[in-house]
Amino acid sequence: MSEASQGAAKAAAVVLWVLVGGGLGYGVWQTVARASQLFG
Amino acid sequence: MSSQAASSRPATARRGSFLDRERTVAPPGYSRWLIPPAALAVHLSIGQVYAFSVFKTPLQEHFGTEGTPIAVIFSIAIVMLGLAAAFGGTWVERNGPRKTMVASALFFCGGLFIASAGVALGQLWVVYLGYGVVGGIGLGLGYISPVSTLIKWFPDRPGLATGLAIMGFGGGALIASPLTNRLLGTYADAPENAIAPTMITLACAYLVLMLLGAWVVRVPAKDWRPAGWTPPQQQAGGMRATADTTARNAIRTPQFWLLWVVLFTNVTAGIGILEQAAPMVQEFFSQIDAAAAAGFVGVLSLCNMAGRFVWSSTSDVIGRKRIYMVYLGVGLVAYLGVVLLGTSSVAVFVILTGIILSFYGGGFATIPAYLKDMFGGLQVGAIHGRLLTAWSAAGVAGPLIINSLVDARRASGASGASLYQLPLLVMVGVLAVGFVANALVRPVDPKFQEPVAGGPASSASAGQDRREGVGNR
Repeated sequence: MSEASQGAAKAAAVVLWVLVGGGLGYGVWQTVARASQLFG
Repeated sequence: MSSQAASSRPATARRGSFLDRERTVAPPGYSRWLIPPAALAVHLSIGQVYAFSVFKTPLQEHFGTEGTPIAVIFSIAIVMLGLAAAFGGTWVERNGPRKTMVASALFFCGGLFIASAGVALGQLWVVYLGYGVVGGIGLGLGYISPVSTLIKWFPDRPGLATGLAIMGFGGGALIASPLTNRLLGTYADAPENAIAPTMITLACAYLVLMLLGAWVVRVPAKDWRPAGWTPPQQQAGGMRATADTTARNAIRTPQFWLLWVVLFTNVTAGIGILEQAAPMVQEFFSQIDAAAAAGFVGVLSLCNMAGRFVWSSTSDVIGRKRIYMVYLGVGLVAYLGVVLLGTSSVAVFVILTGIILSFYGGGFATIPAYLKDMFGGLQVGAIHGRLLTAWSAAGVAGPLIINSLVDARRASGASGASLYQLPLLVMVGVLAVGFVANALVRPVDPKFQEPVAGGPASSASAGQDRREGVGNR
């Protein structure tokens, strides 16, 4: 594997961390908002 | 393939395609923390299947049909998940995670595209074929492919690794549910007219995410180990295998079938609550309206997802057998608590059912690490795939038990919380069976294991499996 492609893969992994982290955060936030109706 | 045939190929062909396992081997110094997002990308995408219920009412309106024909779509997808995982597991091990993740993306997203065409054409059978059959194959391949890869990257903490990946499957529904609702409201005035563009949008987004994950994923080099970590030495009577067992031999062991029962009972009990969550809380507490019941479902979803990571990580510390004692034993007590104390307050009911659902998620997430302990890492993905047939069976048994017993109770004049007393007590019995099965798990007999390098051959059949090319990590 060349250094360039290895660097690109690492950058993509970091982008993926941001995407999946953001997606999970969005999902949890939306679900907590829905769950709060139970005690509202 | 013969070596002569291989040597006649051009050099580029011998290097293999971009998708081949050999092209995914990580160079020295590659951080293993770059791998979990690839696994999460796949599991967050295919976890959309748990949010399928969002499409249920719009599909009923669109096709002008009852709920059952639409529910069949989800059932086909889950059955295909189990079958693809069971029959595709060995292919997954042989071809590596990248090719499998790409195949999973093409099947899963292709299934969504076909289903959208079925909706546009008004042909329900095309939706069955697309979302159910084709998409379901993508679910099965996608579910198992990153799990065995993560186990190889985290031999020191396999529970954490599998918890991370399988948490994504639970989290996928948390994302897809509000996202789908928003898309259905954006593309048309009525949700039933927005199904096809919503499916296409989701398919495009998931395709990008899953292919990005496939590009990023790497397998460790054959002799790679985490810095400063040495494999633990086997102690007399220890549960961790020091030699590998192939998938073919694993299903010949009593341990495999005991773990099948463990997973089946744990999933059956969890689905019992999950499938009836909204009507159950409203029967227990008459003041709970539909919005609050939806909130209760949200609480359970969060517990399900959190349990996958928290309990599976905990299993690295206290051991796999002990954590299943907790899932099944404490789960049993929690079920009894729902029967005896469930009507005392909403908070008690929510806490007890939340604990049960966290164990349900934990059971899913911990089982690959349990398999790795018992059978080694050689073909853990293929063995995991075969074990997931327990999920398919539980997906039929759980709702069937609960629904038939609730219907029988209703027919006999019961109402309110008493509707659920018998079904919940049956689930206590189901968990007791699982508890006993887990207690009976012992280390695998060495005759089923592959010969350790430099050691004597353990068995003729094990050696035969290795010669058939299944030992390519």
